[in-house]
Amino acid sequence: MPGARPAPSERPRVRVLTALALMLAALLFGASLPVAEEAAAATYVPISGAGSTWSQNALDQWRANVKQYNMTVNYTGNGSSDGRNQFRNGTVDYGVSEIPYGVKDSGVVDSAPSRKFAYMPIVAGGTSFMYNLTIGNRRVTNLRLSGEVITKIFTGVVKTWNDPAIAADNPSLAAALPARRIVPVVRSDGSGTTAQFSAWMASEHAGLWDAYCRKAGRSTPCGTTSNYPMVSGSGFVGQAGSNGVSGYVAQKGNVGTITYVEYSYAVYTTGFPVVKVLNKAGYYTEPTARNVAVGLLKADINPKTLTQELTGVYRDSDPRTYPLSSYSYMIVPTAVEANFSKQKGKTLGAFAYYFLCQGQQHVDDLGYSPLPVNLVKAGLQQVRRIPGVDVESVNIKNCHNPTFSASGANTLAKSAPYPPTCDKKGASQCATGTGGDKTPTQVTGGKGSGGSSSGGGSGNGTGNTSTGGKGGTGGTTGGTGGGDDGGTSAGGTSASPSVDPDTGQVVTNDGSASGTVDGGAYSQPVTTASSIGGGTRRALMVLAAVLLLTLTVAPPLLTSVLNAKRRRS
Amino acid sequence: MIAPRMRRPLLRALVACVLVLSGAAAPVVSSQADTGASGSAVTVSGTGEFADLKVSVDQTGNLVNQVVKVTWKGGKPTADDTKYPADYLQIMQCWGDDAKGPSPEQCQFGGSADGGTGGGAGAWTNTRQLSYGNLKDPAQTLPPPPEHSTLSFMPFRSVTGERLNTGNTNVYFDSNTTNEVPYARTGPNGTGEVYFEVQTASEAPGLGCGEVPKGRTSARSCWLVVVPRGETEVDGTSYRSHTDGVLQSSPLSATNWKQRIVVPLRFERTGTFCPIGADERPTLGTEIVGEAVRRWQPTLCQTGGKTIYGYAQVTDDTARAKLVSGKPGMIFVNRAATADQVPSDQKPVYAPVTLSGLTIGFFIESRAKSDAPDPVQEANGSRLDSLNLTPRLVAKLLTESYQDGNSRFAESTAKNPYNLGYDPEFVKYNPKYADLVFPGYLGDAIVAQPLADATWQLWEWIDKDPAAREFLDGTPDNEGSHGDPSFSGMTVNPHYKDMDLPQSSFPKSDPYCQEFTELPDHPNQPPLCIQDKHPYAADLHAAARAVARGETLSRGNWDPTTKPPAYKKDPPLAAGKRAILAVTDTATALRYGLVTASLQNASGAFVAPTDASLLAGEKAMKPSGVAGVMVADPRAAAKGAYPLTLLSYAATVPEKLSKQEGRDYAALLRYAVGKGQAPGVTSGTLPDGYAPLPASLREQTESAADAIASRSGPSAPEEEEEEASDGSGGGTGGGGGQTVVPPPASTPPPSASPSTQASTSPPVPVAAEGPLSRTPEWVLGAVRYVLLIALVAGLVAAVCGPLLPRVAPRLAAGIQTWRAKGTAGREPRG
Repeated sequence: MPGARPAPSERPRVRVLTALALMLAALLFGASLPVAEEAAAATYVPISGAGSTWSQNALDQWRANVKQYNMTVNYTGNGSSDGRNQFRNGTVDYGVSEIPYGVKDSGVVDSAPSRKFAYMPIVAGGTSFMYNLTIGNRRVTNLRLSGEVITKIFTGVVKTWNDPAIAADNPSLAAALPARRIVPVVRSDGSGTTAQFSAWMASEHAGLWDAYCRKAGRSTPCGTTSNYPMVSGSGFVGQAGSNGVSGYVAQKGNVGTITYVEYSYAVYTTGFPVVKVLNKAGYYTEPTARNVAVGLLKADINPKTLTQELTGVYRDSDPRTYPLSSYSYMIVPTAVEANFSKQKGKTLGAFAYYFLCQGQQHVDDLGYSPLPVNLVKAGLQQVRRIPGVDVESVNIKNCHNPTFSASGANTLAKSAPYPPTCDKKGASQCATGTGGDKTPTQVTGGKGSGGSSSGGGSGNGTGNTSTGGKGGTGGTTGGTGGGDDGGTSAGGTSASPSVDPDTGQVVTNDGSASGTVDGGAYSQPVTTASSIGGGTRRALMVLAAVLLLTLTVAPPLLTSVLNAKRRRS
Repeated sequence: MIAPRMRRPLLRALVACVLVLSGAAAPVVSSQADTGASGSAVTVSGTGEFADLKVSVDQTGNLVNQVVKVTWKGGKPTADDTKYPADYLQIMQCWGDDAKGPSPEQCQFGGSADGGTGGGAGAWTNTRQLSYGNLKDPAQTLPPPPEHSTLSFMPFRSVTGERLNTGNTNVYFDSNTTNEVPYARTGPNGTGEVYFEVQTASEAPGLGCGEVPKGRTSARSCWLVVVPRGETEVDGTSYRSHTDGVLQSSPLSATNWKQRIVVPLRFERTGTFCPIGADERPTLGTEIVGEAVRRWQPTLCQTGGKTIYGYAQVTDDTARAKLVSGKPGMIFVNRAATADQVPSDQKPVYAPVTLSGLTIGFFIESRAKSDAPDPVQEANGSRLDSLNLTPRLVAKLLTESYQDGNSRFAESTAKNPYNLGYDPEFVKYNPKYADLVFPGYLGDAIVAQPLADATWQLWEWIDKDPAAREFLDGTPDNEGSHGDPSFSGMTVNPHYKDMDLPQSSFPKSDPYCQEFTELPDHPNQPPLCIQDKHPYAADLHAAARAVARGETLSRGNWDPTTKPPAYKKDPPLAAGKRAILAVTDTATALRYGLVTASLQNASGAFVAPTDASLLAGEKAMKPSGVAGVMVADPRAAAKGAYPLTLLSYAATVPEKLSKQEGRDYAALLRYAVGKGQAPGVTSGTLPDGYAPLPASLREQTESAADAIASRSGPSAPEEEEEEASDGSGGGTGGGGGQTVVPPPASTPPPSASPSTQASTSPPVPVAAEGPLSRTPEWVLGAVRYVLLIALVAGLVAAVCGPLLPRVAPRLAAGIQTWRAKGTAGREPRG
């Protein structure tokens, strides 16, 4: 069989024999060994594409690696909408998008191009919720939320971090959640990530989503949209690109922000935690490669277009499922049109085969999930439709895809571990960190235990200002940055002035720590006396030290005392 | 298809035999000198009205895909400061086997027409179009128009023999891929310069430069063509008499083409590339090694076992997490994993692979103040080649402390200078800039978003500099123990005051946003904030590339027409007025033709990143606390040491590798410190910007390679590394590993395995024998109480121990009596 590997069991023997023979030959004929034939690399013309930033971290690695095969693949990540537009206009050879053409968005249908094309899945992943939240100046890393609360946050219904709904999802943080305003950070450009997220909200929480859209002046039902609706004065922040939203949330001063972005950006680019999202089985899960693989087992794939219908994923009852799992796809030409040629087709075909197979091997290291076998097979069908592709080489047998198994089951999903019980909805909550920050979050002590110090987390240079615990006298020195006098709130909690991340205005603490929110001036976050990390450990360590000391010193002392006694007696 | 795959095991055996026979396996560092750059510079003069024009190309031999510098003198200054009405150069790359030079059909030109002319130049000046309405070139016969068109275009004849009459672009090039420079400006003193990207057959398959044509043995040469444009049009009229008063015609038009200046370009043979389809051996890690690894990849797969290596660029943190995950592969980092990250049964091995540096790359063109002396005025538009920066100046650039690094409307920095050009501290160390002005620019440096060890090192250099630290703590630059009374009194942006350093990212902390509520025509324009005005670059490459293209990445223009309305990316800065800085690495900076800044080290000297200064920087490094890993010493007093020297390490945990993985990664390391350290421009060599590693470091890596090859294997499954259960196979570390018998199917060829060892010196373990790790409490759970319980038990034992001889007999006696009683009482029932 051409190109097939020799069966593994034969290999060593073959190797041994040839090696022996060759050694003999070498000994006999000296240096006259056959010279390794230079690999005849194919020539590939460069190709160019544009589109999604959701999948760009993976795509960039593939592009870099195929350089060694003499392939030049260009890509501009300006958002899915731009990718679809450019492909439609014929200015690029391929586009990358999370949603297909033809979706009605704000009443306008995103029309399909006149050139012939096909969709091909390229990589799976989870749309994650990356956040920046601190309690007592320590970053929270184990936040978990139900889908409804997430929707309420991104539709402006839940407005502060100490909202009872958030507390209900987070029993171990409940007492310590700050009265800080939630600042949702959304994409300001036409984005496939927005489309993914809004499709989920439209399907699972249509009432909330439509009510929000109405407020934003959109027609309802709002459905899937690439352009996040904005309600003026709502305090939402718009940023361009996945880099933009993740970069905004990652600023030390932007405590209270939350955004939706592909997992990769939280885990790897910025090292931030992500929300564990409640699935239908009652478990809060993270979009790890395996949880996404489990979820996508329930994706309905239109066999003709390969577009995704994700309701089954959203409602999957497997306890491991991450509900916002989805995949991204490439829009490839299936005819020689608009500057696309057979030579380019050869490159695109070889590149596609590479990333559907070899390229999937290590996407989990980048925050994605390898495509399951059914999608790879379907994708390879599409690759064969690209004009100019070397059909012979598009061969499932040599495809080094990590999810393949002999039984045809997705090995990744099969081996996915079940969540621990502390991830189950209920009274307990895992302390382990998430996403790019694995530092555990442990809240010890309750309200009023006093003594923790906090800098307010706004990084505005108040130096040694420390805020006393609730009821404490607190060594407040006021704010040095804003020219105000700090202000001590009714509860005895004081805080340094912080800067509203949205408006850039210095917000002073007016003493109303109740968290009432009414548009303009929001109350200063109130730090309760709870702190993360704890006294138990310290006590245990001291105890251990004392015991160790006793253990070392006691026996000789005791012996000598006893001996002395014995001698005296 | 069969050949390469079948040959792999064969070759491995073969190589092994050769090694046995020759007895020496150490790769020899090729002494291949960098023959390209020097000695192939060419200067060519123009003809006719351009007889005074002398165009020089700094390198015309041994070319690969790279940037060459094209300079000229004796030109007529371009007729306008910002536009291109007349008197400019048009530069393109062409193929043509005729010794006399190429025909216009053979040139890659017209791709840029997709984006318009950028305003300021005639409509057809960057096209292949030959019909210009009423304007006609008498020397040009018009070819038949393409299908569906009535206009004539210069067809493109590709090296593959096609003649494509498809307008401005074709399947071989378009606006995304072309390297043409449609407009090159001549300054007031008659000089100009352009950095031109020469393309090989890989980037421009229509030209085929560097390919070996069938039936020949040498690589195809190509041409650089410069078409100088004067002030007359193709029909002899003045440019002033045409639409907008600008030249209109294409340089490919016969009359313009006649003026061309051609320079032959000799190429290296395009590299041999890897056969696609084989399984890749993965590596991942810091971008700092990226340029080198990508250069090595196509050669590595032709070397030794012909293994193909993948390389994924990820943050150092991600790489370290992978290192200790139980499936380490091979990673690249600038700092070692700390003891508490490494499970106690794992002994990572670190091996230095590249020596380079972090730098501030810049593209600044001279711009004289209006009252500057004449010589300065005449130098307008020429590229500046020096920039001296102190840690405090870099701190100012990276903390949004200049108004142009933040916003001129922001109150936080309203009292600070606009940018470097207005800062007396900068002018003190850069007297050449005294008469220059850069309105709106040089207020910050483009920085990359991902976390990085290199960033950590940059901040540490700033943090440990007393003047910079004092500044960050709020002292104005004209006060305090390191202030200079002649400075402006600039203070740090209050949102960065007292910032915690070092850290691995570049914060953008000033929340200021410019509000636009007043504008009636843009009712919904959102505020313009820092991350639109000064966005992050996706990585160091994106940052350097932006600078090379004259882009600030800024999205400052509100465009209400897009859907949704958005801030649009600013166009590139006009040629002659570029002034952009970026934090990037030395290899990436040089790849994109950026000039690198000289940074002040602890001795007070300004040092540019050169081989010598990087080596001095390496020499000044101090131990990191992890055996075999050094870190930069920001306060090293060595005069010539570059302060941001980066020694990049490859790392793995050999015991977690299969035998084959161990061999492959060892081979990669041996290549990296062997042929991979020979500077050059061809594949397999060490790119500019990396200094060749000194012998001691190469030896360290050789030993590490030996250790990896010998320690890998026994406990990890051969070949099938997929889905190895987490944490399995630990504990059997150490050298021999004869304890586990590998399954027969995975037995390595006996001839290969011993020979690898025979050919190398006895394995010298260079494992990081760092302090045993402290496992975080959350991993352990209840296990952490074991010590406590043991101690309590111990105490009880300790206290009871001495008493036991006394108590025990009595106790025994007591028990006996009690038992006696008990048995006595119970006996009747028994």
